[in-house]
Amino acid sequence: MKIFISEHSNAAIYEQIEQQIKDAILRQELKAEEPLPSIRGLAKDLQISVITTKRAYEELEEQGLIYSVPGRGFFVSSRKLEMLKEKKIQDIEKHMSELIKECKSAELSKHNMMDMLELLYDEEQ
Amino acid sequence: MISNKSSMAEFSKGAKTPEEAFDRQILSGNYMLFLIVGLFLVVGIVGFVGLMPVPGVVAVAVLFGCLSAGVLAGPLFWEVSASNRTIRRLSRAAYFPIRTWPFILSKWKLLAMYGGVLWLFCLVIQLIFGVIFGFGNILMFQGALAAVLVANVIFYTVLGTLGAKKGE
Amino acid sequence: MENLLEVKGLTKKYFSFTLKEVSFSLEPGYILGLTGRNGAGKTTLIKQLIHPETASGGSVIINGIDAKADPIAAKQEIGVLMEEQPFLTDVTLEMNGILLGAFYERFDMEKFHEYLKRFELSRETTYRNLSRGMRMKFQLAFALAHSPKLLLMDEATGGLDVVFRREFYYLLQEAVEKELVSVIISTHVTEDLDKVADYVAFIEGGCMKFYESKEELCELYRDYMRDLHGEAAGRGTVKLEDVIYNYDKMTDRKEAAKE
Repeated sequence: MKIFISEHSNAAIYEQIEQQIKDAILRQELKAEEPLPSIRGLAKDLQISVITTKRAYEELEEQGLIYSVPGRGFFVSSRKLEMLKEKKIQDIEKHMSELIKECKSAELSKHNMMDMLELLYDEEQ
Repeated sequence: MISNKSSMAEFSKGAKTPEEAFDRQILSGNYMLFLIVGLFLVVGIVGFVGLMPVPGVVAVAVLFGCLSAGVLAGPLFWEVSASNRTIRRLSRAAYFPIRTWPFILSKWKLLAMYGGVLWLFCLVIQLIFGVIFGFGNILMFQGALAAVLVANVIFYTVLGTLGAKKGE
Repeated sequence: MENLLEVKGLTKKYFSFTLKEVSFSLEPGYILGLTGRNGAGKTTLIKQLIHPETASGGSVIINGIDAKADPIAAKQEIGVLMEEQPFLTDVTLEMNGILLGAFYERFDMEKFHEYLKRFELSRETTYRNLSRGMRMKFQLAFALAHSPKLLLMDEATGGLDVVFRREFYYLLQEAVEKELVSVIISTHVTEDLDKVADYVAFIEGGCMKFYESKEELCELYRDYMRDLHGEAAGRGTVKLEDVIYNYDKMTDRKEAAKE
């Protein structure tokens, strides 16, 4: 897994780490029970504070996505994956309904919208 | 004389404490001063021998003074300046776990010993010259040289104290 | 976790300047960035951490050792990186290690060689031939070789280029990770601290104005910006420079909000 920190991002550094780990878990790049990089190791690689990486991990732990074993570090939790997916789908639904609203205001038909979606979806791959 | 780097290292290796090694290392860098002292001696002796035929006590006394001062003050100057360097270095290295005061005191003892030996050496030479030229002038210079030595020791002690203070 | 460094009421009076009752503590494996204007007392504080026996008051405890009572034992625990270095210029790095390493009980020649290799320094070059950046790396290798618990850096990377500084701090963080050493970096270049500092202390006129985790300071600044300019302003990465510049306004506003 590669984490990339952008100084021009709208999100704080700990939020960027949190989000990217979340995504990696979702994509199953980080599998259940797999260890995460150590707090200090990650801080060193990203050249950031230990406290920042710690905070990102703690946020993830609070959400139940990862758990810590004292003396051994952090691991990906197996239980929360389904919930995370559901949450992601909910987010997508929300985005979509906003998109539909905008399409309607631009007087795009359902058919036109589907065409556009299909085209863009294929292009992404 | 210590001229190349590996023997410089050997010189320092023989030291018993790290303070001593540190000190020796810095002293060893001062061999140029040995040269200056040597030069003093040569000039003094050559001048003395060359000017011997000139009549009158004053010429002899001046040359004799040159020679003695060269012999005595030269090494002292060397020692003082080397000590000064050590202390300057020490003040820069003040974060090392060095026991500063014992170190400086040990150098003071070394200096006193150094001065004592030199004085004895000078005394012997002066006695010889005294026998040849008479003792009247020699006593005068002996007094002056004593003053130089004492001044050197005081100067060194003050310098050492200041250096140590600065280091802290 | 137990604190590695415990400073209480550290005071040093000079003729025209006083370091006033500085207190803070630091856990093992954390990096503290000490910043402030020139002449604010950063160097005085670092000096007093090395030589607390000369302080006018207060106490310094390093790794459980009362540094005031036993300064020599405390110095065994400290590694120092300064702009002015005490190394012997005309001998090799190896000899510098042998001669000066002898002052430290825990100086480990093998570790010294390892770090020299890691930092790409040849044992056989004389110290005189090193560039400034290399000297800094050598100093770090020497310091790490005696396994200190606390590393003190006083404007050590001043005047060195950005690429070098980045590499240097990477090596430093690597060492922190490996040896769990605590570090105090005194610098007026806050960009360096933006990257590596876990805690930030700001000194002004001999007093410690604040001592906080950087995360906390960034949060404070985001709150402040959110409060002033709305939700969008309170996002993104925060520069320490901005935090320091706005600190008074931030705390004033926070106080006012409480009332």
